[in-house]
Amino acid sequence: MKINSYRVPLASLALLCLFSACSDDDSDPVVPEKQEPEAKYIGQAVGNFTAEEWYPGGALGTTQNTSSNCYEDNTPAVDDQGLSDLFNQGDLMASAKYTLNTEPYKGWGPIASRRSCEYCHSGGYAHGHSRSDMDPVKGNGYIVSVYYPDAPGSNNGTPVDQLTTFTMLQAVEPFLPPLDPTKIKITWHDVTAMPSGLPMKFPDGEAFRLRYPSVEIPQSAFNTNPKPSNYAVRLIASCNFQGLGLIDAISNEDLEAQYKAEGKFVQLNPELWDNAAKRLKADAYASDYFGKKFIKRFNYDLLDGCLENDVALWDELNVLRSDIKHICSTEAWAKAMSENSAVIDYIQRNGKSPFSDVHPYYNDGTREGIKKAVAYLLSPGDHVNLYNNPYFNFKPEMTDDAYHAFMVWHRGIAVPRARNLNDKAVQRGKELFTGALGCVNCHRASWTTGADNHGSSRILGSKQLPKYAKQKIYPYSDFIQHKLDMKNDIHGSWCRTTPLWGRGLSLINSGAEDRLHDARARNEVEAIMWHAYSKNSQAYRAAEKFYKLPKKDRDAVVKFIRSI
Amino acid sequence: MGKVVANYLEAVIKPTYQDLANKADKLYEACQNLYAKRKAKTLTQADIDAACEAFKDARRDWEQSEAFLYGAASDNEIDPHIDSWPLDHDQLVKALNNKDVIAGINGNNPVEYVYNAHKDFDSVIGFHGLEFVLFRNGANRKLSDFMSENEKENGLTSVKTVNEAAFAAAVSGDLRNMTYLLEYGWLGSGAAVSHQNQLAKSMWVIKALRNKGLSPKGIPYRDYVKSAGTDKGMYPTWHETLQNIFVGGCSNICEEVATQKLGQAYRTATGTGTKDDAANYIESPYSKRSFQDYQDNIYSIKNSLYGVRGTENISTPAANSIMTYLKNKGYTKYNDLNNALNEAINALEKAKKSGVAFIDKPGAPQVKTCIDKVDALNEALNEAGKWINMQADE
Repeated sequence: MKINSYRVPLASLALLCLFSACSDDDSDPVVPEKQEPEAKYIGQAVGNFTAEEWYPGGALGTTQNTSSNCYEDNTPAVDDQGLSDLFNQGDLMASAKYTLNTEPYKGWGPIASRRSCEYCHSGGYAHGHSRSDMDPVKGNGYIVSVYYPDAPGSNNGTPVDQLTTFTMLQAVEPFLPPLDPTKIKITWHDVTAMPSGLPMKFPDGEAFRLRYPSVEIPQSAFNTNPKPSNYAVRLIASCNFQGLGLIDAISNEDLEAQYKAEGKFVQLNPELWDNAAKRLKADAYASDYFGKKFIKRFNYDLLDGCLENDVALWDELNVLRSDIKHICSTEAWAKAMSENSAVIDYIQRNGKSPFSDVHPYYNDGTREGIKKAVAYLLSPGDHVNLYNNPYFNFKPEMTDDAYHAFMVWHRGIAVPRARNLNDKAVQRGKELFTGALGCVNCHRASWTTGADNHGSSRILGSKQLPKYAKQKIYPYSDFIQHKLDMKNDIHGSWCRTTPLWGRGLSLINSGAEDRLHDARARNEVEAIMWHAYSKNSQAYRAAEKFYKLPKKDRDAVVKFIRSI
Repeated sequence: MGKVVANYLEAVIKPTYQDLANKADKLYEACQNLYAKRKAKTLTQADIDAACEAFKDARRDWEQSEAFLYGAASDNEIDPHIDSWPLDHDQLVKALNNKDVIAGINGNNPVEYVYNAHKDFDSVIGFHGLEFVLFRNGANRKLSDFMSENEKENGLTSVKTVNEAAFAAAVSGDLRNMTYLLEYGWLGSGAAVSHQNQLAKSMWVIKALRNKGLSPKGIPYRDYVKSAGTDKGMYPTWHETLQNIFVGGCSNICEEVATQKLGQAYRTATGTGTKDDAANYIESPYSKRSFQDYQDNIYSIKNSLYGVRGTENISTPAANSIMTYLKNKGYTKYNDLNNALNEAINALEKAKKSGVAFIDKPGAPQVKTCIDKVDALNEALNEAGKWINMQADE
């Protein structure tokens, strides 16, 4: 076997090759140790795994595909229930770059977070990657939480009024985005010592590294009136989409039982759980359009409990739909734009023609008239009706049927099959993860979905979505928020336990595999050790036990996490 | 199995990206010439035709790389950067009427400008932006149209044709850099030295990339794929590596051709989908070369499986090819796979020769035949992928 020569042919290439070992040879491949294919074990009980554990999304929710495109697969339920064409249509709606006005995927703006779902959820709707900028380019899944901290350095406090949940970083000319992404600075800091006192080396001497982000946004980055002051900023990365329909299908009763079981032993988010009375509060629920209640379960910050409440193309791209009559924005931004003389100049200069894309704001062509139209049409207020108003009557940019297809896709993305369950190391990893370490106290291994009487919306009505009743699933999450007490933690301090299913395939699907809410962990060991950063972490004891394991067992736990 | 993977890398992926980069060079030169002569008002039809031919050559190699979009093209977001459609007409009009954009594409470094400032015209760069400038209604752009002061296309008449030419010159440079990046990503210092030098002078395309254009292990993707079973490998085993070639590579594009590239518009035209299926989601509408693109996608699959480039004229798989491996190991569905491959190509050949472009009649029966044949190929690819995943490494 020839060893790869990583020579650099020219001095001018030093710039390039500084980054890496560069190969220019055609050597034969390395011959790995012969490995038995897992194929003959798939679907069978092996070691300490049951036959079902090969299919983390159950029979209706798992794709057999484990290749570099598996994150985009539909569930078997989509095919079984005759929804494949709608799924494919929805897939295009989620991945296509939206245009201003050219069919078929049109209507982004006047402001947007990104130009398509896949800009944030890049690599086949994978988890967001770690980055050092907020450029709204494909592959950057960051949004910012901007809030008034209740104490210096605190993660907690009231969000500012100037921004929407999904940070709008782009605008169609002549408007300006509420937040200028070029002025946002993300800095990564290495942790030199953990407040918990655990050294940054395992007892056997192997070192690990941790880093965390800080974010600076100057007041000048806000194109709003008023601009906020004395605020703090935290990052949050986009979640992956695999298995969302299955999570949606877990019953309220089972989630409530989980709260009750955990609430006996630990404090839970007091906004959602009454720690004294041991019961869920009203804020733990989200309602669908028809008032049906669902316990919140989606996203790190538990934004929603019902997938059918999804308004992604509207609240991230501002693609208009029939059931929402205003754009997604803030009053502070609408006011700033209506008072911006460059905006008014542009509209006055270009808006007279009915063919101009700023014609809706032209009104009577006077500065005052334009100001009024801009203030009204850009407002997020309930008084606004973009489809019936004195200035310009817009039309929905997405039809109800198209939204249905989008939701079939959203609810129809599969979880990839588990891998390597016949591997002794993976079996040992499971033994530790589900046993001595106690990780499953929060990363609960399995659930059985309910009858899947999912929610609906005015648009969806009784239209069919893929359903997943009575599926035994293995998401490895309790769908409850816990505290890890990390440096520059999530805004609000409470973070939902992330499902682990399928995450081991992130690297081959998306080219990255960062973990935790802001993608600060570059691998599983870093993610686990962040759980031990502080003794106030609710997962400290479990992570401390991991810390004390011999290397072979630590590797086994990692291999297990990458396989499920 | 390792030798089969090695042959796939050396005989298919490597020359495809090398050729693509070389042809993108020619396209860049042709577009520079086009702009210079348009500006000087000395443009000829032959200049336009030369740029169109250069476009078609580069386009063929790109489409013939789509059976291995995994890796450098996906991880570095090169695919969406250079091959997104449909074109956003309003965005193009805005960009080419914007004095900052006009200054940028005529400035000191128009190529760098396109890369760094394209957020306001990101839907009109890459192959399809160039296609729009160079082709109309299935033919090379006419000299008289190009030499008139303004665009003649509905909704675009405010755009000056000289600015379109400047735009094409700048965008072709950005496209060229992206193809160099692909070549460098897969081959590292095995990429052409002149291309590496150009990249070293165009660090803007590299500096923002997570792994500086290389694989997550910091080595070229070629080494990443051929290091199966080591800590530098993409997969722990050869059979998984091969399965990924079938499923993550070949099936991935095959399914896209059937269900989306062909399927969306067909379902709309025939009323077999919903009324909101994407009628306008047709790739390469200006050159009307959609069937050619799709056929090249299938040739990309055939090249991958036959272990050799140029399978338009080659009917025998290479000695260390995936097909030969399947045959030698007694894969019982070998003939089914081979037939499905050739039938998909033949169906698209027939559609190409029918004289009816996809965009002109998306609901034609020949489109359904193509969809069925490509679907059948996809099924055969997945079957083979499943089978190969059951083989022990050797």
